[in-house]
Amino acid sequence: MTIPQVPLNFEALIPEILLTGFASLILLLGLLKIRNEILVWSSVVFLLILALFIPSFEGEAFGGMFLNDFLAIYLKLIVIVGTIISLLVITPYLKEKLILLNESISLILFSALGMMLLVSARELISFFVSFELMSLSGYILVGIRRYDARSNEAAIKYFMLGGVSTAIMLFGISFIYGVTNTTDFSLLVKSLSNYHSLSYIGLGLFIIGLCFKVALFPFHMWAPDVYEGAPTPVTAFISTLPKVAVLGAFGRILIELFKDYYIDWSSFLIVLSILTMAVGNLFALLQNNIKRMLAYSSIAHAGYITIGLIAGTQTGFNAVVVYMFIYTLMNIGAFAMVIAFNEENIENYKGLHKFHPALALAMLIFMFSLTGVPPTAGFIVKFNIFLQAVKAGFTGLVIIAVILTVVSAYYYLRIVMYMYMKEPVETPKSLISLELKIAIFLCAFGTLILGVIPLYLV
Amino acid sequence: MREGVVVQNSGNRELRKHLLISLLIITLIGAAIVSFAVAVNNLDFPILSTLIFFPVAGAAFIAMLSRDKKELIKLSTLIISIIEFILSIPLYISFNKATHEMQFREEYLWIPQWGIKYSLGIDGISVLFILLSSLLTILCVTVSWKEIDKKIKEFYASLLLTHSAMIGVFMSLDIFLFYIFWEAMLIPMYLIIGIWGGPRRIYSAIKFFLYTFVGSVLMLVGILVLYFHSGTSDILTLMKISYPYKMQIWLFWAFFLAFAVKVPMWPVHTWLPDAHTEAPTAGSVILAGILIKMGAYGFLRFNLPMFPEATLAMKPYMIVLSVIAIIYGALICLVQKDLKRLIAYSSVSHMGFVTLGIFALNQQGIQGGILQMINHGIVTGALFLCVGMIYQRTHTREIANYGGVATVMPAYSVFFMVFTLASIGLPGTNGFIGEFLILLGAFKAWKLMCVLSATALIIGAGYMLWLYQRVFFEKTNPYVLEHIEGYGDLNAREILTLLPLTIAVIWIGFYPNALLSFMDESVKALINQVIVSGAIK
Repeated sequence: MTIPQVPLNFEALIPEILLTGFASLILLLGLLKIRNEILVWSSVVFLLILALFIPSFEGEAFGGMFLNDFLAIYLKLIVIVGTIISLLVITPYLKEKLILLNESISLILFSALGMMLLVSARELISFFVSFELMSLSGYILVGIRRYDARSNEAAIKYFMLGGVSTAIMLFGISFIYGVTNTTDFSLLVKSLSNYHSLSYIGLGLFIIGLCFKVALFPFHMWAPDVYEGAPTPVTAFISTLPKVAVLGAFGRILIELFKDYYIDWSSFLIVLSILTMAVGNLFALLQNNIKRMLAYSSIAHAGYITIGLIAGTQTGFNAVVVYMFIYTLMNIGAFAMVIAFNEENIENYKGLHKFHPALALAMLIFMFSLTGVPPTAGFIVKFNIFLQAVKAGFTGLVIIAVILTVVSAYYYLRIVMYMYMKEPVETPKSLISLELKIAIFLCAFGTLILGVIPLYLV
Repeated sequence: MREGVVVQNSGNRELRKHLLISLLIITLIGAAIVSFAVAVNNLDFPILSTLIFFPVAGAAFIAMLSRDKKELIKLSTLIISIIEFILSIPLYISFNKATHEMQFREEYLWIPQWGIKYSLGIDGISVLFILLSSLLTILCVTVSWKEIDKKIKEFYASLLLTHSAMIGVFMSLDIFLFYIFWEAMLIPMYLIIGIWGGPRRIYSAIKFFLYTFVGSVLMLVGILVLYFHSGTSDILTLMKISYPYKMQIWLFWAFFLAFAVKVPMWPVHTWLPDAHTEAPTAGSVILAGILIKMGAYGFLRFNLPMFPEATLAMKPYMIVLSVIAIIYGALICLVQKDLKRLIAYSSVSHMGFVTLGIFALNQQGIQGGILQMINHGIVTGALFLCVGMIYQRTHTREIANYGGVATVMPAYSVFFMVFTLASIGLPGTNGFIGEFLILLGAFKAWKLMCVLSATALIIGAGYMLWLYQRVFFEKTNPYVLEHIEGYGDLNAREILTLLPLTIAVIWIGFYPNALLSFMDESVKALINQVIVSGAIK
């Protein structure tokens, strides 16, 4: 047996290699009792430099196992920007010693590394390994408050359910391998077109793995508990970026590899997306804890995003990607606000406008953007998704989605109403740091400006 | 010592007054120069964009002012709104009445990937609303001077933003841009009702938002379908394309729902009494004056010219719905106990006249409809201003608590009488011209319905005159007298607020052609479009 000689040209991989080195360095430096702010700001600067140079690393490595094309770079930029904001958002918790371990910084970086590899993976094994790198770092992050029972409980739940879902996905991968005898995407495309019944099973299990991570109905059960229990900055991180990476990667697999099975997986996803939007939006109405509410809202958003995948076109997928970008901005922004107000009970948001007018304005922008009201970016991206769906002939689905959007308006506006229209009950014990302010400003500014001038969004 | 303080205070007040007047004069002169310069070399200057974005910039400026400088905030909003009004005068002066084409066009590529343009223009149907909106915004500022005492910075910024979004709706010639303005207006309006409104403001604000949002998201689906069928989002191009009949019906209903909620037509009118009643005076004036006109404007801009066959097919239903609204609204008015609620329900009835005129589908009907929209904006806006002024003194809106107001506030009762008569439609006031034209149009279209709706005029006279009698005459109520005494009759600011609208009432009443001449050509072209392209197939 001869082993084929694969050219190793790893130039395209340089950003990831650098990030690995840097994250390990941060892990080591953490031992030296260096102040957390320095670690955070150096990571931010490093990521900024990475973001500047990443577009020049277009290409493939390891004989096509790793592909850094335009879409992958776009997704990586979203991941990097999101990671920068997440790092800024976590600082108040580090400063106030609510999170004791500075390893959280390097864990975030490692998780981001997993995401960057995931969106570039063109081979099932490396796909799976990067998926695990991303997820495992996430599990530890959720439980990073070691002495907090809620955090621990959330971590166990997240880990158990995540582990099961990964196992299911791996099972699906093994079916696909069994049918095609290859793990390389370019070869898979050809071998999958014989419609073996086992490949249906493989595809089904694979999609279930996706649904777990993105929290689509009926695999969404973990999300509210985990989002509520995790430290809020970690919630901001795990509720956005893993979804970006997973939807980015899975979307490509569905649209490129399984395009012959389009009818099957799209009809499956239509049902899931309707149920997800309905469950997410209706349950969000009942929540009194803002983190649970935002958890259900992010479930609902996963439903909207799935509509873009259902369209099954390249432009539909692009719509998904830009939606993920804006979703990341507004959702991290909303969670950052929960950190700033340091308050989880929605009732206690009453009259916050009096104490923090600027922050309340930012929250107003996030809430209207999450609802999808112009002139915010949330409208533009939602419009884009609906546009692609109507183009692909799913007008009925869009009508359901817009009606559920109206439902969502109620619970988002409730926050605005409490902040602006009710009298305060107590003075808030806010938790504000400069980094947090910068993060909130970036998110709010991005949401507003990109809504008026949608550059690079369409 | 104390005397010294008093002297100093009054000195300060004098100084402030002088400062205020001189600032006003300077801005007036400056803006007049600018507007005339624009009028002289018109068309090159992007006047419509200026009108939209000047208040936005103003709102940003106000947001940056210090929270404590209340006088400065109010004064700058007033100046901004006055400049805005003067800037809109060139639209009146250099508007070409001889054509139905869009004027003052501006067009830039906005989202090239979707072929969506930032495209503005006005014709005879929309120009008057922009003028009216600019005028009412000034009055909203002056009437809120004393009424709004908390979060004034946010209030005046919201007021200016609402104005921008509303005139944006009337100017947009791209369906996507139209939708952006249409929805963006909801945010500041939601805040105005919800933060500064009456006791049930939160319920009303959410109801207002959700009702409008349901209608508009379905319109959004309609817009998407339209966009994919034709491949363009340009309103003028969309008007020229003919759509399959079945599609027209669907799209007609999708757009109809959004506009009907806004108008509001029966049976989706229930948000209006709540929103009008609970909103602060300025909010009610904007709602009644401009915001609900956006719905009727939507019929004229989208439903009629784009789906002519569907319009002709749906005409009877629309007329019946309008007549129900007219009579139902008028009857409900008879049993109202709350001043503002009564005027709010009279809006339902008056807007029923507007939709009746529009769907009569003839020259008189549509012209009457548009004129009635302007009239209703002036008259109902003025009535809300009046109610706001007396509410400030007495803090009650219960009609039963009033009585004999005419004895203590003679000037006020004169103004109220003028607007009451205009609301009834007395000849010599603007209300008469609008309603007469609408009934004329309706008579041509459907005689029975015309007769039925004419009965509402009698009921209208009934409830308005009865209201006037209960509030201004009859036994004087000591409670009211006591509260009014501290304030006295209208002060100069309030008289100046009501005066422009009084002049408008009588001016339009005697010389309606001043406004009708604007819309002649546009309405002619519109009817041509509906009748010709609707009847051919």
